[in-house]
Amino acid sequence: MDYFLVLLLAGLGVTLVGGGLIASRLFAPRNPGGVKNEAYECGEETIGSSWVHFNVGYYLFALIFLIFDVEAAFLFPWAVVFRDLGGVAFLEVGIFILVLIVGLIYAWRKGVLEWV
Amino acid sequence: MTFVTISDFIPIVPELILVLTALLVLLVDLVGTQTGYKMTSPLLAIGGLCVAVFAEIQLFGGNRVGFFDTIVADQYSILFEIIYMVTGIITITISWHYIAENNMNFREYYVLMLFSIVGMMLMTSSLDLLMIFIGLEIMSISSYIMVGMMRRVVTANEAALKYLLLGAFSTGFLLYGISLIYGATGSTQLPAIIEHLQQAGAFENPLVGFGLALLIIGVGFKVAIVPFHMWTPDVYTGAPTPVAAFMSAAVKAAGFAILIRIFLTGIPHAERWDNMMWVIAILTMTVGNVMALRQNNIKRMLAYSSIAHAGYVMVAVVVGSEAAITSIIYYSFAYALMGMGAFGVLSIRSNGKTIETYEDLAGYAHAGPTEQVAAVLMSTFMLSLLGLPLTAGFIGKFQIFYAALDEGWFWLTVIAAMNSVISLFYYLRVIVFMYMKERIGAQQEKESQTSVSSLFAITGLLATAAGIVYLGIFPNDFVQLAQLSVTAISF
Repeated sequence: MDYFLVLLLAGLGVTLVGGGLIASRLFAPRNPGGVKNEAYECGEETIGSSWVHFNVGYYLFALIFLIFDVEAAFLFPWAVVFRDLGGVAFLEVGIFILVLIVGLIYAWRKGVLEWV
Repeated sequence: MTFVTISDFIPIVPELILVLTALLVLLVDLVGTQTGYKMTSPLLAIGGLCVAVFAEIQLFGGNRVGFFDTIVADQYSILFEIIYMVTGIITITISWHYIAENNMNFREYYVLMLFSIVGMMLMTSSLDLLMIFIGLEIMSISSYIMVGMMRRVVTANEAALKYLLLGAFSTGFLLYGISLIYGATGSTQLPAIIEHLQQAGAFENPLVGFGLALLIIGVGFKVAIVPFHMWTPDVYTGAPTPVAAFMSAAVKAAGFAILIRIFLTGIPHAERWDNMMWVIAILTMTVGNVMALRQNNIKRMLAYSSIAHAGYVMVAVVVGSEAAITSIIYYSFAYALMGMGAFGVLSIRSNGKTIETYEDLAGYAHAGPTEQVAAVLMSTFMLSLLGLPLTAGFIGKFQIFYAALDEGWFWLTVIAAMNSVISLFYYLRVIVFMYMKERIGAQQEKESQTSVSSLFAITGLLATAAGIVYLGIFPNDFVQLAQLSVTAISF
């Protein structure tokens, strides 16, 4: 019985979305051709092949950003209950940050932080 | 609400030592000069492993638990962890030469290997399915990278991609199995799961059977049992040879360690699907041996032979008695040494050439002083893989067959013994080529030179061969340790 509401919601969702699609299929006028068939609001027409090499630097930057983003996500809850958790938790967070710092030093020395 | 205290960290001291060593190796690599690093990284890694082994020995017998009973340092996990670390030390001794010869100067190699060992250790000492999963992933991700370390080589890339895709796929099975087991039993902790499963009628819930099947698939990929073995030959062939050695030895041992932990300690014998498991055991042995017969590339042959050996271990898994579990532990260690050694000899270059096919081995024993020693070592490893007396391979097979006969698995034992006879051909072929064939084009070659790094590798392999012979002549010490560790896990 508890799941009836879920079922109702799912049914409603399917009806709304499906109904909209079917209605536009039935009633909307369609005149394809010319400018209408070009890439529109989805980016530019490509010049040449899109299978080219591109700089992996974006990826590395994003990765390092992500690591420190996750670090912040872990540090906030810890900071909130800092007094309750006590010394061992402090030690653990210290180890955690230490490992991340070693990672940062590694990336730095390997020249990841320089934009080539 | 209790929190983690300092005493929780005691059972994972060896793991912590290895993590610190890995970070240290990473930092040394950053400050080191171009000439200094070659020695420091491997020696530092070996030093860390030795300290960790020492720490394990101190923990032995303590049965300490930590982290809300998810991590346990019992005799069982400590014994397996020492096996991984010994394997790691041998791998490093043979890696140094390989890295120098093949310009594989990625110093992250040792770091990844240490992390991989940490993953195996966590996986073995864990009593929680989620922790086992995390350990398995630490191990797997490190080994995916190690396989593809030589990124300019096409075969290495192919191997790494295959291993990554199939490995990730099998991880999905494992995780799905864990979630179903959790759904059926309401816990991810092994003692609680086993307690639940031992109640009458627990197996009538289809989720349990389905979940266990998925777990078998997930672990089966890692230990390469048929029909989940397809990746093994390609990956072992494409990977750097020391990495293949490490994978065939340590990763497999780790897989069997959790297989024992999950399946053989608490699940009632009637519910272990004996019919399915013995079919898998027979298939694994037979496919491994028959395919190994047809190979011309020695690394491929060794890969199939490692599948065959996983089959012998599966025989013991089918039997599942305490004697059988003891024999699995013994065999894991024995196979780790033998497989390691065989791949290790292949990683040594002879006359600037890498040995790939049997033809490359022709006249190997007469090519120079290094090769003479290496040929003797290779013969030892081959005879041990074959299971000749006085070697660890013989005692290992003997124990498995004995345990199987003791529980009345007569035909299974007969088939395993017949498989062992098939393997005679391809193991002896290596020895025949090394000693009895003429070297092709020997006139053009200059006298081979012995480098310091190859001496280092030979030393490691000598120790391995000595270990095999020791285990073959005096197996009692290790067997007693193994029995002790079996009593630690049978609850």
